Amino acid sequence: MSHNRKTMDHLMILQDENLLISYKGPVTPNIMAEISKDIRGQLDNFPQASRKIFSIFIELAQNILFYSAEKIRYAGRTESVGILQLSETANSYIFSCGNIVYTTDVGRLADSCNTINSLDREELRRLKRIQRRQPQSDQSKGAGIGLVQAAILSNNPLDIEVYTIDERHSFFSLFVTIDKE
Amino acid sequence: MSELKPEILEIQGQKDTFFTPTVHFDATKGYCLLEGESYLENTWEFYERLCNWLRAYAETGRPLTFDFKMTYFNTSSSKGILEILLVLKEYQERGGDLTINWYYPEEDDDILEEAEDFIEDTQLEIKLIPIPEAI
Repeated sequence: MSHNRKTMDHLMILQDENLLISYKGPVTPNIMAEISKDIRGQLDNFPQASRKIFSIFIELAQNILFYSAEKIRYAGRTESVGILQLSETANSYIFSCGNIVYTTDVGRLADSCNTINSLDREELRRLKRIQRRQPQSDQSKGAGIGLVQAAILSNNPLDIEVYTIDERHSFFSLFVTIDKE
Repeated sequence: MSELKPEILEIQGQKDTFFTPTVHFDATKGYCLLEGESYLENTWEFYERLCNWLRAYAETGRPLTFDFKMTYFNTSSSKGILEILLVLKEYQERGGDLTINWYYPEEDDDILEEAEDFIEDTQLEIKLIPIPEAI
């Protein structure tokens, strides 16, 4: 269970930062609604940053819902499990999300992030317009456009971390930095 | 030919687990409003219903003013909004008299950029109108 230890390491590192929200468990629409309300409520000193984080949260939490390889039975339904965190530094907020993925999906996810990081803002906007025009079925449940949207809104590179759990599973974390102003 | 029913399509906006925008489409006045926040459980069904109404309205050949007053929409909803704009584009290309206004909170550059991207995507003339920040 090396990913649990790594997650603990991550939580320790976060002590240098101010941890505002931390959640691990089933990511359901109801839970997303509660956390997103909290985001909107807590960050009203920086309205533009708050709007960005809210939008990024919705896109990336939905990715967990679609992609997490860890499922549990919760309230009679099968739900996806993931970690959602928001922390604060002097000049920025860092939103992170993580979930177990099949190792065979890691390459594609990392490639998407690397491609996004290689593009400037105008290129990202163009990529988003192209992806938006694709039929839903060609979009692999929409993950691509959510990542692009997160990159556009954050104005910062996407950071990823991958830990190998076992032969078939990895823990994939994504960190998005949103400047306060 | 599709039937224009109801003449006035009203959907009350809601912010609950999901966010439903307010819809006020009025065939008697040639006026449509889409306002608020959009993050839906069945995004495609929601926007397809609006597009079908607009296609039926377009058949009447009457003038149309469409006001967008959106403050938030997720990327799935933005596909729905694009679909609406493409229906409007088709109506205009067939000679329809069309005015589109896009109202946005003046402090929200991201929503303004979304509108610019819709213009780029559709080549429609969309009037961008800032709404001053409410104090």
